[in-house]
Amino acid sequence: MTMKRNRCLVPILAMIILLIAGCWDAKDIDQRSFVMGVAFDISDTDDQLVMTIEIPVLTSFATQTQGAQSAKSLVIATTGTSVAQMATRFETRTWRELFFGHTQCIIIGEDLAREGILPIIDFFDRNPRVDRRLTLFIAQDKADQIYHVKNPLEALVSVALNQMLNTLTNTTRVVKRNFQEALRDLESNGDTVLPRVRGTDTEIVIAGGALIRDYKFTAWLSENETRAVAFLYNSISGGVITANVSDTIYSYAVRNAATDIKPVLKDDELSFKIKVKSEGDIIETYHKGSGGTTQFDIPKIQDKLNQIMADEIHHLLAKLQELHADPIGFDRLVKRHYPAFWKEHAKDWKEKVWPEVKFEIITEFNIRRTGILERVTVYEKQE
Amino acid sequence: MQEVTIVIVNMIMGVGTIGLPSALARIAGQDGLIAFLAAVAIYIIGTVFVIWLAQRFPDQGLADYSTYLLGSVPGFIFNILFALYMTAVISGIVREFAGVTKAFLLLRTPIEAIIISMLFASSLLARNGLEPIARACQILFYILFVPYLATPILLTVFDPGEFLPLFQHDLATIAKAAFSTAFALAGIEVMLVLGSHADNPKRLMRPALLAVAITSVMTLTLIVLSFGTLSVAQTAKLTDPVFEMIKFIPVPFSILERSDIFFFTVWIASTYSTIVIALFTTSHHLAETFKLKSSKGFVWPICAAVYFLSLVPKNEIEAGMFNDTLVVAWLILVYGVTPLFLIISLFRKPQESSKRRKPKQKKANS
Amino acid sequence: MKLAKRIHHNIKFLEEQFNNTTDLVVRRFNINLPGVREVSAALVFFDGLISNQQITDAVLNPILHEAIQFKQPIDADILTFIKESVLSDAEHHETNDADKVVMAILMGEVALLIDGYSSALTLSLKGWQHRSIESPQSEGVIRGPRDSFIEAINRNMMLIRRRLRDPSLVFERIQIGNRGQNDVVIAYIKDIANEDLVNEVRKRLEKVDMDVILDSGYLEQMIEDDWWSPFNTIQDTERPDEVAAGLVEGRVAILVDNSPFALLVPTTFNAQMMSAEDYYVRWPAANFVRLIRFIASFIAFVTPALYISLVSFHPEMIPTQLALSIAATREGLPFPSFVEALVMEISLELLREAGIRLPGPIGQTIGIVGGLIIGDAAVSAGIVSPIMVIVVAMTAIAGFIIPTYTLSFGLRITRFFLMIAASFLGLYGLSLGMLILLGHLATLTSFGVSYLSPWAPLNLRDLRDSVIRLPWHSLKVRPRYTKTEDPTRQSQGRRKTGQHKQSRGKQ
Repeated sequence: MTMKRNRCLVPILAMIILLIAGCWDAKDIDQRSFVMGVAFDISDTDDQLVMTIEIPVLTSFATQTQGAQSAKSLVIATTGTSVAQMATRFETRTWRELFFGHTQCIIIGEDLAREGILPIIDFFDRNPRVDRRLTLFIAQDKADQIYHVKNPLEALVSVALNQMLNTLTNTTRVVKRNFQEALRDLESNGDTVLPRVRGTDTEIVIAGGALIRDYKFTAWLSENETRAVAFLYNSISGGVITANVSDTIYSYAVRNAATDIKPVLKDDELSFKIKVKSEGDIIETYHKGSGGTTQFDIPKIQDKLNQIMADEIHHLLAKLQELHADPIGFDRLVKRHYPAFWKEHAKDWKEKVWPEVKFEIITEFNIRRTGILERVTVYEKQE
Repeated sequence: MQEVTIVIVNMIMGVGTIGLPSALARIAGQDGLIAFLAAVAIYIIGTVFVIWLAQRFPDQGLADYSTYLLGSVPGFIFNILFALYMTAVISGIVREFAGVTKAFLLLRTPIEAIIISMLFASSLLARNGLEPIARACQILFYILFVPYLATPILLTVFDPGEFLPLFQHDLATIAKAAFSTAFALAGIEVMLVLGSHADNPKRLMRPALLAVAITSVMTLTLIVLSFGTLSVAQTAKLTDPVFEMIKFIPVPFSILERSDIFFFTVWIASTYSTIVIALFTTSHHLAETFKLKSSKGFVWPICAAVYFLSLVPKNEIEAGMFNDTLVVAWLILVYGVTPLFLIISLFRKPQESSKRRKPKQKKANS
Repeated sequence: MKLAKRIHHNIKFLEEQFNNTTDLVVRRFNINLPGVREVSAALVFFDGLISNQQITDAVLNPILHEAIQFKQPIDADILTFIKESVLSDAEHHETNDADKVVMAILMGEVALLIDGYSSALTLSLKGWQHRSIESPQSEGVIRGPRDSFIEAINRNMMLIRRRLRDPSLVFERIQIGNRGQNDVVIAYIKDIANEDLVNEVRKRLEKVDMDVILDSGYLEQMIEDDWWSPFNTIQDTERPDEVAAGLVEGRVAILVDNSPFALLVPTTFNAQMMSAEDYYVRWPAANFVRLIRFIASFIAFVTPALYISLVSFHPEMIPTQLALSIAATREGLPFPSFVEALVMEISLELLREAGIRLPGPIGQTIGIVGGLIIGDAAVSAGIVSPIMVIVVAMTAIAGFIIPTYTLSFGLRITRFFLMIAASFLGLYGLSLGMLILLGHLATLTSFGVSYLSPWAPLNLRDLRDSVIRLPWHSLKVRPRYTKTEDPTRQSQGRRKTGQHKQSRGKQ
């Protein structure tokens, strides 16, 4: 009889204990402030950091209302000395806990980036809720001005930014690098290339790249240079390259691209063999002047493309060598294939060894189709 | 026969496997892979010891044959020590589990609540006997496999170059990594107590080795995927790379932006099964030591002991030291005590013990 | 006690035994057979249990009118003569035990007493009103027979016997209930069912000690393995085809008089997720429906708890756009998600119960319309969020898919349990709750069979008929969980596809 009662008692006791104690982590979804995006700058007035966050105004998101048109977001900023400190400061103004689980992007202003991005990154890296697919941007000038641009298509700037980057398939002018990937580069040698974002009064532009060296922003990369970086990173999924052959400008759309980099060590001299292969179509021919062929000279166009890209990559690599930066991660390749060599030279890779390496670049751009027209559109003068 | 395999697999797969890639990467970098293979080899030897011993006494559990081999008083002391060891192991598991769960899922919940709830849930099943445990483990076994279906997706971001260069580390480091990861695979020692309950207590070697093979493959896959998709460097810095990897899976069409949910459930389930089996083993062992028929009554006291023991380390670092002690204890048990027992049993031939186990009752559907 | 020789003693005895109840009829008459002096006789029976027509045709007419016409004098005693040569009823017994006579009259038989004889005849002339056979109320199918059991046990036996014309089909009738003495029939096929199983069923039934068995449900709760579990370990069904199928698989059926629900043992979770229709429709259709059913039952108990744990504990796991939308709709709501979910679920349960109690079409309408209106009103009033309404509606619909009514109770209770678990510890609580549920299911057995068979212990042969059902050509052996003596269902050997196709040329 006592056994039976005991049996029922203990589970009841256990349940009571849990009930009395309460649920500690329950926080209803509408009691959290979703931080959609964060921007960091150095304050103009003093030496502190400025953190700007974008929070959606939830009532305007209820689908009963008109959708993106009336949806609003709140942009607020605060200053402080560390990210965590600023995050808590916000809570005095929004009376809700900041929630970084849906943060779409982190923008770091140029000046702050020059001083170093590591302190910012650390906070987000440690947070288990952060989505590692968010994008890290470097902003030209101030980061917070990005959030003051009114975008008619999308209420939340952060979402717009992230979506813009992720759905970009037709341009090569920017590098797609999410948080996880950027961290991977940074942790191996402190260098990477991050997308650049620029805001004017009326629009936001994502183009070009920011070169990070030793966790510090060093230089801007032009759009063409960024294109070369994208090829080397093997993250090209589209884009157009133009080639001028016999007075006609051909636009080549990249459909698929793959890059293969191999280190070659000969007589203690290090060089890299870079092979870029691409498949694509001609999507436009722009003919200046009145003459011209009606036939496509595919090999010639391909050669021209190869040459253009090879030059671009050479140019980019030369620049990187000059700046003593290795964001692509050539050092990792050396480490894998020539561990002995690496052990010897690891310490001064960026200063001494990297600037001296040679590159052999082979580009192979294949043209598969020319749209649905078989000929170059040339107005044939009827004689 | 399959029940033996399933119980062992469930016992081994649990908390230890989650942090394994990280520990390996930290100590041995790319050579962590080699260290793991070495660990498996070491573990197989241990398995052979344990199973051989269990097979030599097909009708008796550890409590009985330890007194037989060592004499009643030393045997009894050993039995108590073994019970303490198992309790400590469960504490370690529970503590680690609660820590990780708190870090990822329930940041504010006191660790005590997580520990109590897990112990409570496990105790319910542990009290009900081996048959229900085997059945539940069977179902959990299927669940354990499901996350591996994500492997093809992960392979899209897989970089095989991450595994070079090999053999950069010296043998000592590799050996150290091997031994501590062998403990992560620990679990075979429960067969010392449970061996006699199998359908065929004389033929345990094959199912046991099969179980070891299965868990080794599963863990190896985890390590390989972690190194390949997150890179060795990142694996080393993260406390629980498996979760990070899972968060990062690019699920097509963004059906579940984060597929974490399901994987967390699997993680909790694998820990649960480990704790249930360990609880049952300990309570059963104690019941045999004190010559009692039912092991039910021991479960809650053991849970209480586990609870208090698991709260002893004050932070992660102390918990790590606690774990290291356990590794040593495990090594002594499997590679010291077990062979010792084997040797003694060669001299004292295993005879019918005076307390013969009752003929097994008709088991529910097999 | 023995009967007396004098009829008036016996009649007085019987009237006293039945406390002079008014529905006891004593029909006196005189027997006049040639060559024998006249004796008085009486028929004692309960009005209402007897078919008057049969009394007239089988007893009174023959004795009063036909026997008189015998020319020759009879040599045996009157009782034997009447018993063997006069009565034209189908079934009768002779006894001198007064208690047996009492029992017989209670059972609905007619007692024939003859003055001067201390034996009586009990005649089976039952004929009472009962419901005619109609469609099953709880287990409807589109394809398949539509007759269901009714309250009269003989009819039910007939429905089974019609389908299984096998001499090995055995019905064992016993009476259970101290005051009710209700007929309970154990049915099984002798060379298929496992003998130990049948013995166990008998043993458990014998131990039942109740006043009256009003429905098979009483018996079910008295003989089941785990009475405290929300999941039933004995299956009940209204359909004779299900019972027949079960018997052929090696199970044992229990029929209870006055109850249209028959019991089947042993049962598993898998068995209860199957509907009879799965076997009548073709293979692809059956599998599609089965898969949906399993998924639905999972949705039915997990969804509200999942909602609570994601919304309140782990919103980072919801896709961003959806998260914003949910957050927006919950803005301004007074209750935390757990209370919201609880309120909605309880309202749904209330509606469901109300729908059952209200008669006919009103009941159906209240269920649907009530749900819609109340849900809509609740959203407009700002008490719950629209997402919650969707969750609850999905859960309810998914719950209706479960074919066995009793099993759905288990799932409903589980749903609440998981909701509570999730509200305390989020996803972790939900996972632990499901593990506790799994542990519980693993503990259940049904007459020696694991409730989770065929998944645990793994039984590859039986898996052919679980979540998916292989075509009939592959289901050649009976399921293993019944431990049957005769495993073959169909002859072995593969059926060649196109076996029945005629050659095209011969038109």
